[in-house]
Amino acid sequence: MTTIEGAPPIKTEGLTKHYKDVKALVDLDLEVQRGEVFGFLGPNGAGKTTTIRSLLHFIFPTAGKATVLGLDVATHAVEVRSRIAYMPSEYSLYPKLTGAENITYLANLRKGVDQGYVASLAERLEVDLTRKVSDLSTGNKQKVGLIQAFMNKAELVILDEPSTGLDPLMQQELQAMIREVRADGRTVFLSSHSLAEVERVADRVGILRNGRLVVVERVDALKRKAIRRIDLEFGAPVEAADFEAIEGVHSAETRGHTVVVSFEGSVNELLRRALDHDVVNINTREADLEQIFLTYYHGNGDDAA
Amino acid sequence: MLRNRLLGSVFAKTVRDWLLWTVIAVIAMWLIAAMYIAIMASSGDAYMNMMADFPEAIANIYGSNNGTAEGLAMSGIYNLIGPLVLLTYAIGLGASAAVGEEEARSLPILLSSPLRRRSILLAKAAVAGIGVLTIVVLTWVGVVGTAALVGMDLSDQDVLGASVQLLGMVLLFGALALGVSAWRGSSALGVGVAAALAVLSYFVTTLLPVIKELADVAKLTPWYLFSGADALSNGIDVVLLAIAIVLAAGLFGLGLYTLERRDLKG
Repeated sequence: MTTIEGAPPIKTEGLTKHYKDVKALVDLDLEVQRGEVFGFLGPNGAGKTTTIRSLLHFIFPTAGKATVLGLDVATHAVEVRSRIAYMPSEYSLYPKLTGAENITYLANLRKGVDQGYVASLAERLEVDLTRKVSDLSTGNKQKVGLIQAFMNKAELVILDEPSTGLDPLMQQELQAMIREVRADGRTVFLSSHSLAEVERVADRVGILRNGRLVVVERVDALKRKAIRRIDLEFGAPVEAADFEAIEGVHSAETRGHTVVVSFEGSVNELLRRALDHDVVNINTREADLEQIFLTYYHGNGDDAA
Repeated sequence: MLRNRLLGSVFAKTVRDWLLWTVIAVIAMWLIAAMYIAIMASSGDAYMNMMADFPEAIANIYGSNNGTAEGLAMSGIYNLIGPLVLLTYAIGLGASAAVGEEEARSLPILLSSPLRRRSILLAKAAVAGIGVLTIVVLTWVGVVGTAALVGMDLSDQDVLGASVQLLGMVLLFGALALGVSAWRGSSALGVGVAAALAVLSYFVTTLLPVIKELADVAKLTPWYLFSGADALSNGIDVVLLAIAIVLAAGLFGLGLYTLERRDLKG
């Protein structure tokens, strides 16, 4: 086995994929660190799956290169696949086989899978592996897919929209499983358009937009940069213009006795100015990735990768 | 237990997946062979008299028959129905070997295992090839056994030679379906091209010789690699068989080469 100590689990340099005139992925430079959960965000068609399929050598890049666990995927595809696990966004299991038979087949191909661990995963995800896959619901098929992705305790787990079809309780279980992989020092590459899902488990996120990586940042740092909203309710109407000149304020709008302010950074100066008036109530919301995502996706964010 | 053993590798699982089709093909061949042999054993002379009045083009469709009821029975099995059943099996499984998993969307998970694309194709193609061989061998056993049962004398018929010659052509068309499917990522295209060429070449080979000036053109078709040998009467034509096998190997190699170098779908 070729091992490059300290090599990042995923590294791409100028990775580009064109389908005729469609630029599915453009000049992607990305480095995922060992032992982190990396969230890969973007709407459908942004290039997330194209990136993953390039990492697995299912497709050939138009330009650039990708290494996984320090190995060039173009020349070491089989060795790479022996050390990772993958759950595609769209896939089919073998419908005539039971869940257990599907798992047995895939485990036989990978070798070294602990059947006891498979049973514990099935118990956690509450899936009956004795039933034929064709008789399972979408959510239960997804659970079988998750078992095959987690069963070999791979160094790198690549999950493409893994929570599709899962109920909220099972989504929480999946998040717990992802955290356990990280706690074990292994790496998770989590592709999703569900911002809430990524926010709960990811250490860092990359946002992809029209095939280009718009930003890579720690989740907490992104949140600090996010545009937040505060509703200041006063005893009497207050002019919004009083707040517009404050550093960090993007907009202010008067709605009756309330001024709605969008801002980034510290809230101190905003509060000082508010206390010049009769403050009745203050409502604020924690910034979530939804706001951050929309900021970048609608072109207000920094386009530099 | 056996069911789980047949999940140990791509080869084993493919055997499990395609076993039913192989059994169906063998039973179909046995039933057809039994029907031909039974009819010709009881009413062969009447059929010979009837065929004597057929136009040459129609008679050609039934193939060479040595002017005997036994010859007519074997010709029906090996020149007409046998190729139809075997080509259906080989073309279908050849295309499925190349892109079956890709079109069923099971390939992404299968290929996330440490497998090469070519090793998956090799395993599946091997099962298809063994399946064709199994059908040919069991058909031969069934034909010889049934003939012995009804007292039909096959001493003038090289049934084994015809089986081997047919095997070569069937592998060629199966490899064509595999090669085209693997190249373009479409089983429909692979099956379409192989089936269309098989039908076209069959009619060209059987009907064109009626026109003396065009008789040699018939020799350019893949079907001639089987029919040109007239193996039931003359035994195996090693040259034609070798050409069929070399072409089949070339098409299979083309399929392997192109599959390794194209983007996978899905």
